[in-house]
Amino acid sequence: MNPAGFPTAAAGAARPLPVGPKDAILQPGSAARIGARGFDMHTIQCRLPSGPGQACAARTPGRGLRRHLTSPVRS
Amino acid sequence: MKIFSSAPLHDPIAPPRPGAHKEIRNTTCYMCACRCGIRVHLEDGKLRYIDGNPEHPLNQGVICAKGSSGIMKQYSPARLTQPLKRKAGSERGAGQFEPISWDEAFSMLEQRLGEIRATDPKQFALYTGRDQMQALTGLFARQFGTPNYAAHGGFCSVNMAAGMIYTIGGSFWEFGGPDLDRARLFVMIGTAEDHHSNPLKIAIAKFKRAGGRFVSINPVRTGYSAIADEWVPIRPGTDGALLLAFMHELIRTGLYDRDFLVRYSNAGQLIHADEDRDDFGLHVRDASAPEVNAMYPQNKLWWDRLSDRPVATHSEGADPYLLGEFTLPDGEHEGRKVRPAFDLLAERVRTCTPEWAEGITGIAADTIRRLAHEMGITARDQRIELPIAWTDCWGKEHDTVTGNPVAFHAMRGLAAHSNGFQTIRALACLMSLLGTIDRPGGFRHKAPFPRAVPPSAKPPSSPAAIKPNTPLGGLPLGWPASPDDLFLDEAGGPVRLDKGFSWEHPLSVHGLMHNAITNAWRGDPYPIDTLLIFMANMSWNSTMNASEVRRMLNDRREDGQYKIPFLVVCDAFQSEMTAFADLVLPDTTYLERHDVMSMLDRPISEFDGPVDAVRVPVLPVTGDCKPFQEVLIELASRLKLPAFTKADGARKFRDYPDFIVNFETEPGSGIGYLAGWRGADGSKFMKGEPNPRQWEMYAQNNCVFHYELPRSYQYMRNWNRGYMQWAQRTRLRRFAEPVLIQLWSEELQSFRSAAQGRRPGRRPPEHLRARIERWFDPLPFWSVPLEVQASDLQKYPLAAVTQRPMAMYHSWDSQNAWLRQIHTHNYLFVNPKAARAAGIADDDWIWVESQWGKVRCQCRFSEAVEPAASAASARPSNPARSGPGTRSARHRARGSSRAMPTSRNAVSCSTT
Repeated sequence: MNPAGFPTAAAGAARPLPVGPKDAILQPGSAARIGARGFDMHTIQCRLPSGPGQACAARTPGRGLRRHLTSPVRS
Repeated sequence: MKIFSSAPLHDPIAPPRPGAHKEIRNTTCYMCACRCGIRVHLEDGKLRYIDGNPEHPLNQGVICAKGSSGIMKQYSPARLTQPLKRKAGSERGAGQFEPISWDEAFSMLEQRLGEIRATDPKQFALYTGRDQMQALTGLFARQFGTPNYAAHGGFCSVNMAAGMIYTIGGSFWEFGGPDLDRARLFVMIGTAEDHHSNPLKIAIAKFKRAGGRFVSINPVRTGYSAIADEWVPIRPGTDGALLLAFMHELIRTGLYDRDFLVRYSNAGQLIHADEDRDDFGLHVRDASAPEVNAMYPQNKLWWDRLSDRPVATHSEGADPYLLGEFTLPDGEHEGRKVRPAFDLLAERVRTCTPEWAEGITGIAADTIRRLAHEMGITARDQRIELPIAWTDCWGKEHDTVTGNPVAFHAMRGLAAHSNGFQTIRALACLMSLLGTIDRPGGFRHKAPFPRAVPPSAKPPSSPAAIKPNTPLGGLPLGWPASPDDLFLDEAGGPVRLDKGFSWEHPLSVHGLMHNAITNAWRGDPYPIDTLLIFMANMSWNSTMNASEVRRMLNDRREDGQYKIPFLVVCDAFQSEMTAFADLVLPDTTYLERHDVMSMLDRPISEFDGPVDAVRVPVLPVTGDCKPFQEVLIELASRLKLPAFTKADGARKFRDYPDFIVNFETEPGSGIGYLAGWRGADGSKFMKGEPNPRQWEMYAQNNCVFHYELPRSYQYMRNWNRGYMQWAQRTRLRRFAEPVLIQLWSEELQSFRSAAQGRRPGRRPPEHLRARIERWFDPLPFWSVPLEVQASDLQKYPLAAVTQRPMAMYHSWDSQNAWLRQIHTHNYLFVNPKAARAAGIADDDWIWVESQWGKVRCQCRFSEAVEPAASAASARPSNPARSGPGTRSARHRARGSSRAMPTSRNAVSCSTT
């Protein structure tokens, strides 16, 4: 079992897809066919690769006054 | 307008001006889908603030952040204020437009659509967001003659609607809900932070004050879950396994409501069990007994324990076996093996033990066992008997109404996974085992539900339904009962652009809006000429792949013409979608127009009876905006669509308010869009001739009509003779036959039989047979979500869940400064255990990677996230799905808010 609790394929091995889902994924009109990213609406399988020293060299979000409290935000 | 000023656009704390003219006007909110009553406070004709209407039955004066922020939408600088035409020579997406008059816009549309309708009506497609006027948009499409119509439900609530309606004839939210006035145990599973906002908050508060116990099963403890007595974290997409394990325990311990199942479900009905026969899996029918209704045959059999032989169901004095296998003694089925439907369900869940479910859900087996027992014992030992006499559909008189006070609430957390349809079927079966359907303290329907299983409305079954200058020969959307109801061409291929009701998507009861652009671009099954979209962001509503959709919209044929030649967008605001339009039609806000929450569509009914409501303009129209309803009435009149045209060819309706008052479903039917204050003097309801003062009477009554059913009609409506006859008279129902709960679904079996070659007539094409056979299982089952199956779980071991925060839930768009500033940061919430294991500290900026892309976000530790594996984000969209192609938080917020993201799940699930 993997941490998500599902049976897992051997590490690094391609996961064989059962007939139903494989068929569903690959058939015309299915998710892949219409160019969708992902298969389940609110959930994706992911990882957090940011280990020690891997955190983004990104700006720290501002924690100051919310200057536009009552004006529309434009982007 | 102070767009570039640093001064606030609207200052809510500025002192009122003495001497200003103040006025309060009532209407109905549209800041989410709840449709609460609101009071709009005006000062010298300008909107000052909005609060809840204490006289409104739905929200009783309560207002949420969204409702009170409607003012931001009204004064948004992104408002569209005049019709726009894309400048000649400019590319789609460049946002270069020239203003035109409405007359020019209507002339363009009249000419183009008139030619399409006269030649091939399906070349016109109309897709809408969650528009709350689908009875009108659907009527327009049908009258035009095109099958290519749907709203957003195909990637939103379709599994919740279809899974439950194909089982109990009703579903959650607008269709029904938990009776928390009488429940003792409330189990909320897979419900987002603010679903059914104010009404549910009021009900939960009352329930908790009365001492009820609230259990929340959810990967994240936010929103409603935050005030639950017990939070049961669960791995995303595994709810179906948990529900099957609950059923396993209830059946193992005998804690199911046998009497309820016998009389009100098909639990005791006999199913053909000879696997080598073509009728395997179908109900046994007595050919010598009257069928009563060909769509809903009543001549089915029980195996009676007292006489030990098959008898007609509901025979006086009979008591059917629910378990066992039997051999029919004589008649046409002599020697045939049969089993009660319940026996088949019991066999299905026999291996679904709590230990089995623990390995899938992450919930300890002991917890599953304890919760199942709590449900069963609460239902059995805290039973309610209300002194309400009623008569069931078989003529038996009951002195009381019984209630088993265990209530559930579920939504997309269950439904919007690729296994969602069968998960919802499992929930409906669990609720039925506990005997809680349309009973006090359990689940209760809201009019016009319950419907038949499945509802009698069907899509057309052949392309002959599409003819030039002729309304569509059937409803664009419906409820197939078997392959015979699929909308197929002679070769068995799809007829709809989105391939709804084809072998690829047989039960796509809400259509498949997310397929429309891709299919039109591909010309698969055919190209179209004109796509009209309303209140929907197709960059998001199509496949959650904005960059690809933009490319499709700009792609051209060899002759230089766009592959989708004419794109019309109607919306109230500028957006990344309107930028791609050839013609932009400026809609009004909800405060500037008439609107109806109709019994013909999705009204706001209460458990005790039908409720519908209206919006009335409380502010003048901004600029040259026009309500989309008016656009449709005008276009329908110009195109002379029959329902909008008099016999002499003149237009039938002056405008939208006139249409609402005078339209009848058929001449003289007395059934129209609004049920209240009908009849010439407004003295009738539900049915009656048009009342010219109907709008005025709604406005005088808080914009809402509420009819409280007689108490004897308020419960057990699937099987309540009095209610059924009343509902038939008022046209809420077509037939009065009882609506039995379908533990075993013969509808699903008919599709499986077709795939297996057991059934005469239509068969799926070879490449789809295994798929139909697997997913059209007549019993609920759990399968690993497609996302998980398609992922390398060694590489991507965590599940990222997206949901919209409370203040943004169902809030349609992002044109709202106040709401967006409540959630100024889009954190990725991670359980500290999982975060530390990845070497991540609280507040770190991190990457989230999936096979679909990666996105940078800020981590926030939270114990309210399922500890073992999940990460959850409060972003309004899916971070790891966003990828580099997406442009901004605003972009994401808008797309998801319009209709909630995606749905591959709805694609695949509507085929199961």
